[in-house]
Amino acid sequence: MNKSNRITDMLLPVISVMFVLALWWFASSQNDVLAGPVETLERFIELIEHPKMGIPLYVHVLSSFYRIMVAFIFASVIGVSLGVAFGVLPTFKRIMWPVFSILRPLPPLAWIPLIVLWVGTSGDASKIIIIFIGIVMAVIINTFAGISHTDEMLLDAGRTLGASKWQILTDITLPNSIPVILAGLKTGLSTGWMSLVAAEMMVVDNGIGFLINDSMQYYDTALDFVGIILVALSSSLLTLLLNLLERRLCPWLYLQSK
Amino acid sequence: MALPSVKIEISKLSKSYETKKGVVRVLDDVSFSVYENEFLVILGPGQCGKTVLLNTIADIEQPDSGSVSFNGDSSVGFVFQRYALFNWKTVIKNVETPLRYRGASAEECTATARKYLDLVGLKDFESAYPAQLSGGMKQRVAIARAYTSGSDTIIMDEPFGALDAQTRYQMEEEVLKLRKTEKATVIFVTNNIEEAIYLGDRILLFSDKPSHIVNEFVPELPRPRNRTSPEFMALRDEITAQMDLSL
Repeated sequence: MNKSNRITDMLLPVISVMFVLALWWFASSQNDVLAGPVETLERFIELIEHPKMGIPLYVHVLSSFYRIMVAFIFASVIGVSLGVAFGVLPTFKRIMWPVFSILRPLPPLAWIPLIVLWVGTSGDASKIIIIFIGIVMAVIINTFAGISHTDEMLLDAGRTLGASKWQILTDITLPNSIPVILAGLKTGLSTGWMSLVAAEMMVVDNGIGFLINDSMQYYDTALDFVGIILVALSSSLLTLLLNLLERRLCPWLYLQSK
Repeated sequence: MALPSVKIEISKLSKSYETKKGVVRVLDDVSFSVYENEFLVILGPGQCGKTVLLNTIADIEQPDSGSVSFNGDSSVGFVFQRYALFNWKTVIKNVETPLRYRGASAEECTATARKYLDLVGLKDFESAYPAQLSGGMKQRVAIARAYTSGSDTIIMDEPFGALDAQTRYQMEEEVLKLRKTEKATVIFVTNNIEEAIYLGDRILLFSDKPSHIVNEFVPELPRPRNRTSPEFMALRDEITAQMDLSL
């Protein structure tokens, strides 16, 4: 890559973000209700200085983070296990796949009333379960796809090299599926954020979704933007962490082409 | 010369597949013997069911009827046309694979893998990933891996079919070089007549589907063989004529 190309590559994202900010600023200047970038920044500073209902801003962010991380860890472990089971146990798949197919397209939010009845509104459990449902489906479906679409030739190679069934799974099928599984985790994470905000809006006590819900009650669009930006930043941070994990786990995907 | 002992006895193999166009018979009553430590070339046109034959010998596929019996060790080191390397493993980890499956110690794995990587001229590439290698180098890794398995039998399924002509010549030399140091029975499949004559101790010419053996050739040519010698060309003409007839 030559030098001028590299500079263009660095400038383009900056320009596009600036453009969106300018558009936002222009739209807000034409409209009394819509807060602009400046008002949003002021609102953000105000929130830090004068916490809403005595809950500091970082507590909202951290509670959201905590919920999504716990849900994410459970969804990864359970989702990958179920995906593998679907991929390698034909009888299990025959029995459970129809059930999974019915549950999979349901919006996680449809479960909220049921879960609230079951575990109550207080504490994190209800939100974590809803986020978990949001994440786990993509993890299951991607793990299953990765496992069941492994190139037959690689499996044959493994067999002629003397691999047992267990070795084929752990040494060929699973490592070969890691990129697809990680893609599932990323997809799941974005559904997870959607579920998180919705769950916190409906089952209110704190969190970024709580802030967004609050903004709706008071037509506080600046607060809504603060919430939106916090979600955007937090989910980018988690995606970045997942990308770093992918670099660690799959160095062969990041080779310099020769 | 004493009679060579039989390593693999292939007897009356038949196999059919159901396709949308009906049942296709791929192997038709195929019988032959493979002798200990010979370099047997199976030569046949494009889609003639050679891969099915090899997969049956390697126990990857089951025949409809007939049998394959080995004298002694029945494991095979298999070299696939499309390399079948594990992209997520480095070169040396790929080559170690069969030993690790057997539970060999880490030292043994590394030492044996290094030995074969050295033999195929890749000792400087042990920590590269397959994606960083050229086609010829990938196939060298696959060949080293097949030999590392320690099997008495090495099967190569059109291993150089995807390579350019020059690389193909280099790889043919590579395979013959390995023959000098490593005792093994080699079954080598190709659709290239020149390659068959250059490499083979014995050549079995197969027909198109349903495949059966058309003829057997034993090139009485001194090694290294000269691809442009009159004897080489004569045999080439003879096989070409019969291959065309069988199409």
